[in-house]
Amino acid sequence: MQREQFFPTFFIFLFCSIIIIFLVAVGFLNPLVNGLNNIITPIQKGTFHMFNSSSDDSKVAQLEKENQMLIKKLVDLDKLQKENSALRDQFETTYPKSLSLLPAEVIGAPGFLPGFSVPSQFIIDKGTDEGISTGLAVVVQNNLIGKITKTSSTRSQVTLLGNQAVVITAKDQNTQAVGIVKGQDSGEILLDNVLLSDTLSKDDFIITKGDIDAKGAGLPADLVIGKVTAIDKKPSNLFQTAKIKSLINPANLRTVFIVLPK
Amino acid sequence: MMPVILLLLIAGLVLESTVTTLPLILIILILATVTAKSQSVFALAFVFGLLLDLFAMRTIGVSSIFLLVCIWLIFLYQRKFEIRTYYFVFLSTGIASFFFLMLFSQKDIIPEVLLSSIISIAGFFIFLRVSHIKTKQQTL
Repeated sequence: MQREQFFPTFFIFLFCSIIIIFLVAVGFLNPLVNGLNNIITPIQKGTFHMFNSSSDDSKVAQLEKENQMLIKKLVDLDKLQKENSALRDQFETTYPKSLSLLPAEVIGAPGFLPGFSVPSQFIIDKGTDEGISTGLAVVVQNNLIGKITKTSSTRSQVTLLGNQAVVITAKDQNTQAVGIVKGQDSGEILLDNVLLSDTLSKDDFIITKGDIDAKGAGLPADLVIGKVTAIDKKPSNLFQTAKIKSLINPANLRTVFIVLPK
Repeated sequence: MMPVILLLLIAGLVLESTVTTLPLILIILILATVTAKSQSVFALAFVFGLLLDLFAMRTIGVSSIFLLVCIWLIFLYQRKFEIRTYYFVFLSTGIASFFFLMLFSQKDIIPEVLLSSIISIAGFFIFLRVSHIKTKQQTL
């Protein structure tokens, strides 16, 4: 085949692609894209469940759930104790306001190859039509699992904590040592930028420090990020770091909750 | 041949948008270009690029451009060189996958590039076997 024969075909399709990018950017194709999204979401959901049909009823899964509930109770109890002591000290206190949660089903996990890699992103079946916007926290019970990073009318992309694109301000629940939680390439979570003078201990719970914007959207405080598994503290370094293990295994998640702005 | 390619592309699209970041659509399109050497591959690249962007929530049209350019480069190359070889399939898939993953995935690039090249070689081997059997049957 000569160049002259295939070049016009290539050029026509290239031109069409550029036109489509432009039309999508100006919002001209939004109704069509929304309509297609409505068709695509159930297909994606069905396929994802077909490939991730792990037995939720297994004993390990039940024990994991039980463990998560107990840890949730432990953190809540600790929070209540701290609130009570604060009440004694001062007359008024701010109770944790009930969060408005929107349940969403996981319909995709691009980049997740079972047995080879851990999920670093989820696609969920809720979008801007349900009030979701970028930056909102995604939780399971009181465990933070990620943030909304992209939205369409019917679907959203959740970037999980193990993804290096996620950076969150966090603190140690016991010592209140503040640091920055970063995802690593391998899916691990690292607590970095903790001052050497601060104390970190193994098995401490790391919780969110809170990062709510003026509109009420963002990451609420006191959501559990994980448990400290190893600490790297060297006097020669400016900061100490700690490895964190999330209490939630994202590979098993089917339903997550989005914390909507109040 | 085209119905098989179409079926493979649909399967690749569903898999790529839900369970893996392996550039399956790209691999299938490269194999289709090498084996079919037909201009209809441009149309497939355009349509499946758009669908891939819709499924993966990317800017719609970006994947189409990438896929079209890849196929165009293969067509340019085949004017002077033989492309129906294992070396070409391995290298072209590897290079194209590398840039595709750099643009859209940015995670575990090298293992995925290697895996993509191996998948493409396996696909090319199957195609050669099938076409060999067909030729034999026609001769008989």
